[in-house]
Amino acid sequence: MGKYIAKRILSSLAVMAIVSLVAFAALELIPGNAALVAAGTEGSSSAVASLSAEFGLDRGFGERLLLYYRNILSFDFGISSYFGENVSTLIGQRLGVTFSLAFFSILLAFIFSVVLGSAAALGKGRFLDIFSRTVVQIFSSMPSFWLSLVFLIIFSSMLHLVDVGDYVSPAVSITGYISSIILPVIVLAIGETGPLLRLVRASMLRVRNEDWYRIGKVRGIPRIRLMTAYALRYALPGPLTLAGSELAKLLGGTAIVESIFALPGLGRLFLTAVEMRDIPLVGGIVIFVSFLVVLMNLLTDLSLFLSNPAMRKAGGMGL
Amino acid sequence: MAELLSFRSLYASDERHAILAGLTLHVDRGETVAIVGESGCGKTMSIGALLDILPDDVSITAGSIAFDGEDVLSCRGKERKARLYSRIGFVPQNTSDSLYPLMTVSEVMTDAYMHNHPDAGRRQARERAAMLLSSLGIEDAGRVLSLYPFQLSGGMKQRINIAAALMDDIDLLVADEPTSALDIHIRRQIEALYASLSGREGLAMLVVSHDLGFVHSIADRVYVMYAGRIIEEGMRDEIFSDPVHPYTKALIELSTMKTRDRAHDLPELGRLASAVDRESPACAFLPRCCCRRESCAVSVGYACLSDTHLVRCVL
Ligand code: SF4
Repeated sequence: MGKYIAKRILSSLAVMAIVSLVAFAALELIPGNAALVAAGTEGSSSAVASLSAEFGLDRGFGERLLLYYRNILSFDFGISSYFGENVSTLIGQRLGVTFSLAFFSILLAFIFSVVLGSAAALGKGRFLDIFSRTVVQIFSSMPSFWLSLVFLIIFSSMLHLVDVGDYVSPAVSITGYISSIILPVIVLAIGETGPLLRLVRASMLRVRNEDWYRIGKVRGIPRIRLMTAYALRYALPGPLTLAGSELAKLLGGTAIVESIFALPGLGRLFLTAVEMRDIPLVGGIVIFVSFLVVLMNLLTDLSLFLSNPAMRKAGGMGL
Repeated sequence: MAELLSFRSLYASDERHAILAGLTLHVDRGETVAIVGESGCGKTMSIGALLDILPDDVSITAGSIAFDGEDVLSCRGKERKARLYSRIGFVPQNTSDSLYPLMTVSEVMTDAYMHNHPDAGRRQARERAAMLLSSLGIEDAGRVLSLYPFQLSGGMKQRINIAAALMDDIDLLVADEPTSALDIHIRRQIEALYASLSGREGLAMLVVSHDLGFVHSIADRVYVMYAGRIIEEGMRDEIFSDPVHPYTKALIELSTMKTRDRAHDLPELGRLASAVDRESPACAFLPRCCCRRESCAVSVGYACLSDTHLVRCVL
């Protein structure tokens, strides 16, 4: 068991090392560098040179790479040329917003998919099954920017149910927090529900044909217990893995929704960074988000591993 | 002997074909009855109909099943149904997923029991499970109870399934192909186990199998099923020593052949034509029968050869 966990962690570290190497290469290859951007178009060559020295850009390739890895390990991504602040601090300030959006939208989509997907599988071909699949299909095919605008018009402008524009931290006011993120969370959740619901339904349909399910029924295990303690527990690893990787994907993919709802999240920060050619900030966000993705996948894998006795005792499959 | 279970003219079909075509049989208290036939003849479906685990697309269209005088098919109400089913134990075919893979043997065995007996504690249930395992010849039952299904051999799984079916005080044990997918050595052990169960006071068994050697060693009475209905029934010796229906004869002949010769013959008999009209009054075996006559294509009824021996054939 320990061997599998160690292997899995090592392979994640390797992926992180490669990802950061690719990011480093990409940042090296794009024309211009942080010193040029920081000095501005009017900057004298001596200013550029002194900034280059400050950022360590005048050193050799190998030395720069070493320095780069050392900085990453200490979570030091440099100073943003546009904001003039530490990149880690900027990311830290925005992370809460993006994480809230990603986490709650996946949670919402997951709960919805599990309840509806199981019910649909139980009554395969009946009203609820067809209805839920149709509705989800319709909603999933709507682009998130369009859905965001529709939601804004209906719930904010017309019904005045939620305030949009100011993000409220949960530390300040819980209701304010909920009201500031609820619409974008729902918009993102709708986009995520389609694939999750389909997967839950398919997994539950398969479970119903398993021998132990039919035997459990014959032995008199109550239907609700058979559905939850047996069927769902058995069918969930697939949907959970999908939810984990979708959560990771959302951490880097909420830019549009954040922009429309004027939320100060990582996605918007990234858009600004690209627009302003803020190279340290772009690099910092890319590396940080990819690390988060690798970490989320690692956590999903490990939790699935620990919840499966066969895999736990056999020391893992694959890898 | 008092009748415990009976199927009366049971018809079932999926979206396209008839599956059961007037299945009639009965099991008396304490007796061991076997249904034999090739796969696809409907024997597993008949168990499915009794236990309410038919596939989604299969439905019962006519007929009835009675268990201890109670109509099973129209039994409504969760509690009544649960009470009825708690008197029937089911041993599924020995497949890799017959035991729930994420629970220990102890949990698998005691979960249903604790629901059917709300006043029994976990400890009491576990003790009963251990006692049953030991009675089925499993040494160190305590250790086996804490294992997961993936740590068990096929024979062990089969025994645990039997023990789990015996957790309640049942009147009827239903077993689906008890010896399939087991090697010869384990098969003997399982055979001996069923033989000892068939002698248990008050326990009736309904066994579905295509393994005639096994059936011969445990059954009191045998039903031969073909294309959704019984084509011959009788006491074990009547069927094995004095078979009348050409299909029964072929089955018995095949089962006594060596595997090498069988490999040659089986495909011919194994091709159970799904195209035959199971509900027709004509003989469904006609396309494959060596002794067919003209009248076989019109209508064939049952002939009584003794009080217990019945055959659906013109011969
Ligand atoms: S009824 Fe006719 S066709 Fe059918 S088994 Fe008997 S002899 Fe053969």
